[in-house]
Amino acid sequence: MTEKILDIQDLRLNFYTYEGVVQALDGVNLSLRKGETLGVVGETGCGKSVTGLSVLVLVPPPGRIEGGKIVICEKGKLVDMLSEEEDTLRKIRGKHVSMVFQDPRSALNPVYTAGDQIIEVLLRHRRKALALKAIEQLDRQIQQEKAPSAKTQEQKEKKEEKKTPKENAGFLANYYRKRLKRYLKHPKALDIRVSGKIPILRGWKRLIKEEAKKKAVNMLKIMRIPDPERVVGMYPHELSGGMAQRVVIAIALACSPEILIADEPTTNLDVTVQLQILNLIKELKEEFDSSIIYVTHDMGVVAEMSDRVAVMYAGNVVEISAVLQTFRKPLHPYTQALLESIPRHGFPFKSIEGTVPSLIDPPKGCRFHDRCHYAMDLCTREKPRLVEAEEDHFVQCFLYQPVG
Amino acid sequence: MGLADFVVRRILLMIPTLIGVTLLIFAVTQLFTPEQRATLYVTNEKQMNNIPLLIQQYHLNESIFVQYSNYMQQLLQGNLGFSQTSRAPVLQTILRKIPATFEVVMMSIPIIIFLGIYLGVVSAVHRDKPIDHITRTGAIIGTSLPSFWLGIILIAVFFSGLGWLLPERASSWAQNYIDLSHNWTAYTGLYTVDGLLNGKPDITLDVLRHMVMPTIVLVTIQIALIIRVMRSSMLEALGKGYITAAKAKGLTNTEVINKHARRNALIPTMTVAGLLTAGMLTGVVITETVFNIEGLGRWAVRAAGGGGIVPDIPAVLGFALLSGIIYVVSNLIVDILYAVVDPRIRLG
Amino acid sequence: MSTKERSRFSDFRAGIAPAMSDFRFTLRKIRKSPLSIAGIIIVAIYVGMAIFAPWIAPPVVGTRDPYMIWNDGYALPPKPPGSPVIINEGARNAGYTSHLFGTTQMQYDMFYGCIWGVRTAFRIGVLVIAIALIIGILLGSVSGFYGGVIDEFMMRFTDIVLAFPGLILAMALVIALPIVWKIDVGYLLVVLLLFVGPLIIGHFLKIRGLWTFLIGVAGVVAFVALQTFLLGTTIWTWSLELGQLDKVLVALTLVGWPGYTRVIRGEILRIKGEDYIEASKAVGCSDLRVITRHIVPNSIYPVVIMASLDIGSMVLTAAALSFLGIGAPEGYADWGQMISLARNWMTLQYWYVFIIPGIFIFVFVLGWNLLGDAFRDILDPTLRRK
Repeated sequence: MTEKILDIQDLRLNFYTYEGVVQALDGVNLSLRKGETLGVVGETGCGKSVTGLSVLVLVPPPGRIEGGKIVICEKGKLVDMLSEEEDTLRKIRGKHVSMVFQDPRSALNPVYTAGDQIIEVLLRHRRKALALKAIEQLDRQIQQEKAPSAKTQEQKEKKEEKKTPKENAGFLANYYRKRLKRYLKHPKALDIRVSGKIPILRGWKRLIKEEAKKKAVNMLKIMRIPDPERVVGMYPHELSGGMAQRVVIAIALACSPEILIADEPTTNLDVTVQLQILNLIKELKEEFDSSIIYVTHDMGVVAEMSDRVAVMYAGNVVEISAVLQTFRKPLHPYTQALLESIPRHGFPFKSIEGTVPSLIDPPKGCRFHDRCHYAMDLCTREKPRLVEAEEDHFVQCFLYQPVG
Repeated sequence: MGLADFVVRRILLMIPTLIGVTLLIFAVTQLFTPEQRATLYVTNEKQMNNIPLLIQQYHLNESIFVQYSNYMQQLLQGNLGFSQTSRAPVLQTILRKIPATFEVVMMSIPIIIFLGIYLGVVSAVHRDKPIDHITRTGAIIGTSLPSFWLGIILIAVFFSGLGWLLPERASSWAQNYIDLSHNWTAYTGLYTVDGLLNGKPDITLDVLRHMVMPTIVLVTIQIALIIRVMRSSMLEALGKGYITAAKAKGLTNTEVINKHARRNALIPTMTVAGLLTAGMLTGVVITETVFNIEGLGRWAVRAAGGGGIVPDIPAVLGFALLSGIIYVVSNLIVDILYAVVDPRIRLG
Repeated sequence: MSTKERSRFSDFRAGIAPAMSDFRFTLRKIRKSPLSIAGIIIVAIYVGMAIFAPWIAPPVVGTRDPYMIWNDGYALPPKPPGSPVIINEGARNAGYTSHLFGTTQMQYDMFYGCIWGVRTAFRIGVLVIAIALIIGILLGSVSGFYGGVIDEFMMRFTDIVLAFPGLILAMALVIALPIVWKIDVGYLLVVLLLFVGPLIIGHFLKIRGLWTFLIGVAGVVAFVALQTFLLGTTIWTWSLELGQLDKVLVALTLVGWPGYTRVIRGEILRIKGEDYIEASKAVGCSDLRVITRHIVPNSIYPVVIMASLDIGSMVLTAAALSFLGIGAPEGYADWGQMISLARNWMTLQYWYVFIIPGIFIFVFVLGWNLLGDAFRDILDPTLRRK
């Protein structure tokens, strides 16, 4: 069994609203294995989006995480997101764990270009790598000038006589190179900070930004966006929904994160564009070697994209298993009802009786018991735990006993 | 469309509004008798004695179309009438008095804008915390204070009481030097700047000391509006999706607030900035009267009825016309700034 | 009660139950916000002072106009609070033994001035805002509802009036308004009918849209032509005599109406696009019904908020005008005018001359501002349930 890269244990989350305390997540258990796509599926309000946000510890108030652990495996180290300082979390966000949002238009800041927003995340996490690239670029530039381009002595003398801008540039290039090297060694040094503010002297910073811009254009190319040079300077409102979503994905993947959380990335897009984006994500997953948590309400998408599936209901994960297992042999009554309710040609409509319970005053015991055909007396009193009913197939239901 | 196109289009749109402004002033003149209207066409004191001639000359008894075309002709030639209050042609008076008014306004506007934006952001970011309550209470008090009352209180406390700050534009020794000395050249007309240019920094300091109170009055009244709008638009911006997205990139809170939220929140605030000019013009009228500064406002108030029995019609109307024009132009500037900051506006 | 009556009553109660619970919710929201309560209390106190002014500060026998403050002699320097009433016999007969708030320059009694000033403030604030509101709603609704050329024209017109700062335009108008103003009521009626007439005609003839307007205009023009032909000129002319303060009122009204026109028009444009307007038209409602039953109730909130905030700012502007010498005449019970008398006495020794009337203005405006803010937080349906 492949190692776990993300492990959510017993996550509890409440929203403190005027109407009361919404117990949104009631002990969520999930794990993501390296290299897989885990689909998290459920109805609106079941808590799947909030779970995604929790991994980044970005749940907005009035939401507050009340318990549990979110452990990620970062370069061999185990880090519990919920017990770390903000500073550490900021180093992880965007770099090791990043997110693709549901509505690309609102996820992009309307007053900055697409390029700016990709560059932003690159500058945040990849400055050193970019500085190195800038140095390489400068080295190439300096080599070009040192190499004798003037064949004859005459031309050489002519060159030495008039100081061409290129000569001056050589001087500046050396200066920048020195600055960049120093930046790599001592990024917080006083002279670095000072020279970073003075107009001409701070040119070395601009070089880093230019490298970032090159990378941004490259990212757009990887996103299969035609004419990336032009798109990089466009504003979000000028982009179509599909393009905007590609930009959001570019931002998320720019620093090659190990974990990608995709929160219903295609829900707000046209159906034709949906397919393109889904395929894109699949390809990118290979290229970037990321593991993905794919949150959606669409069973079709789940079937298409996931290796394993976690089904959520009313703030709980009720079933997790490999995707084929989930579809062929759903164990939890909710999963079964969900699959039955998918409209199929030639069959009458079937829906699940009752409605999703209020999370301010949730039912005691198993939260599904009032809509469940198999409900027992036990279900109204106690809450089942997630048990392994078959090999690598977990269910949260009293109908099942753990294997072995 | 691009910025240049936008600017050109916007300037062209301004012209009908400017014409409208003149139309309104003209309509106001129609409330006067022809004798009173004649004063608008007077260019020097001698002509004041020969009103019937003027009525003939400018067809003031005829149809409004004829009158309006006359009026516009005179306007475009720069003839706004003769001001009894200042004993000089209106246009000349305006040009002469602008520096005095401008000086205080110049000091107030940056404070209002920068301090206002800052407090609005702070207020929004620390919503419902003490600093927020203090700022909002201050803002409500600011909009409820009569500006002239604040001015009087400041004079009573800081001038009559403590003697730290002074009303009027400059102390008498400084004013005498400026008026009488041969060594003084009025480069800009602004006493503070001219003081430095003439090598008399003591005059500059003196004038600054006089400017503190009027500036406080102007700032207090106006800053409240900026704070309120900035606060509410920040709160709106902070609730948007791109804020969470920015945090998900690993940016620090300061970066998120300043780079992402504030830039968007500035947009509605800028629309309000147009109102700033109107407030400034009104504020100038009141502060110059309270603090006895010889600027445009003081002149207009005297002309309106502070002094003699007959109001100085060309002066008041000239000042009103000027205010209208200033307001329209400032709105143009704000609209252009708007397009600079918000790409959705300039790109359509 | 018979069974039939009882069931009708309970039906009635059931019918208004949602409205009642909403109303109770509103009251609860008001009670929770201390600033709203403060605003309500302040305004209530002022209303009380205005109503009971003749009893709190009885007018002095021998003065014609109770709004003119009585003097206790004509000595120049002001006297501090508590000074006895020396010269004015009529005042002593009316019950004044001392000057409660002191006197200002020329011995005007400040207590009297401040109390009757409350009445003046309400007169100015409420009258100006009410008239500007009515004009604004009328013009704004028609402009917004019919759109097109009418709307364009109205927008240009309001743009131009709003291009002038209120105080400054008011200054120009005050000196321009003649003392005797002949208003041709006939023409006023025509203009009014021009806007409202089409709606009424359209309602009865069951026509809709721009056609009602055109037919209405035709009807009104026909009416005017007929009447001019039959009677010679328009019906009747009013002569208004404008005192100084009246001029200020008229000027402020003329300055104030465009603001409301634009707000209402904006709201109407927003509502016009809403689905329930389409629905009501599809069901066959006449324009008049659509306007009165659907558009006005939904668009009224921002205007109410704006009006309550404006009462405060209107009083500030009027006070400023009086202070500058362009508003109320000297001796009038107007706070701004009283403060203008303080210009020679701006020291701490004579604090009462400007502090006391100033507090009256400040608290008055503060009260209305708090009220307006409270209205905004409470009435705006998008902010109500947060």
